[in-house]
Amino acid sequence: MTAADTDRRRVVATPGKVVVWVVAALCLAYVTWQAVGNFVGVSKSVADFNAFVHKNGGTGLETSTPWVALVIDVAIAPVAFVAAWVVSRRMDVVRTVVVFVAALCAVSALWFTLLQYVGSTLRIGS
Amino acid sequence: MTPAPPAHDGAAASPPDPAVDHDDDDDALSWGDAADATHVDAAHNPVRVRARRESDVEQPLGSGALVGMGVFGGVYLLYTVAWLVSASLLTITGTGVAGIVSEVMRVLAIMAPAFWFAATLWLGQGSRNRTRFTWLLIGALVLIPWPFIMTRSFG
Repeated sequence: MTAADTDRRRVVATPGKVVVWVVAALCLAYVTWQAVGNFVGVSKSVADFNAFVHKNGGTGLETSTPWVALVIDVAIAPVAFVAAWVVSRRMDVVRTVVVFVAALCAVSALWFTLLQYVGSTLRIGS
Repeated sequence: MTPAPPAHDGAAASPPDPAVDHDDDDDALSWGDAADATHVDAAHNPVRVRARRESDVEQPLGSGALVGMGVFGGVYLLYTVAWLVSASLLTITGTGVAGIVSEVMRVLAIMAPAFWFAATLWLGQGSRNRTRFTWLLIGALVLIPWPFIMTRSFG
């Protein structure tokens, strides 16, 4: 391996890129926190609702928790951060910003997709 | 480890060269019998390594690549319209920071397809067409406007 190859493989961590990574990490951490809140909130709501209808003899009204969608919801932001970091690790700061904004855009789109999916499939009290 | 097969350069394997001195230290680096007629001496059969093609940034796109870009551009344009319609109508409940973040995410979701398309073209300027199309395909799969499709199909 030549010195040029080593340079190409090296992760370039300039102060500007570190700032971008930190800001992106904070944004995506907040999204993950919200997703965890959704995970706990939705699963608890479904469990409470099922317990209520079961106690009142309405077993047929019980609904299932959308575990897959909730787990994907939690995993989206960390996966997007890692993917964006891998893609941009040897780029300059401007390109790094573009990559992380694209990752945030993708996370937002998937977030709304899952929000719509969970909202449309969950039937609690209706 | 299995040794790599020798490169054939259109000619038969070279005969052993008495001028090449094989001392005992080199035994571990050779195989076969030097007196064997099929013996291949690496000194006379150098492996030719094809240099990796450098991508030419200034080279214009081929017609196939242009058509592909046009198709992806049309798909991403439709995605943008679909996200604009669906994300604008989604009701988001949230106050304070959560409400602000939700509104920012709504804007990001609407601009996602256009931004992904532009970013792929810009970041992939020096890349091969295959790399660019792979990223465009990933974006086309990730950014499918499911809220629009679900509400128009099942809503």
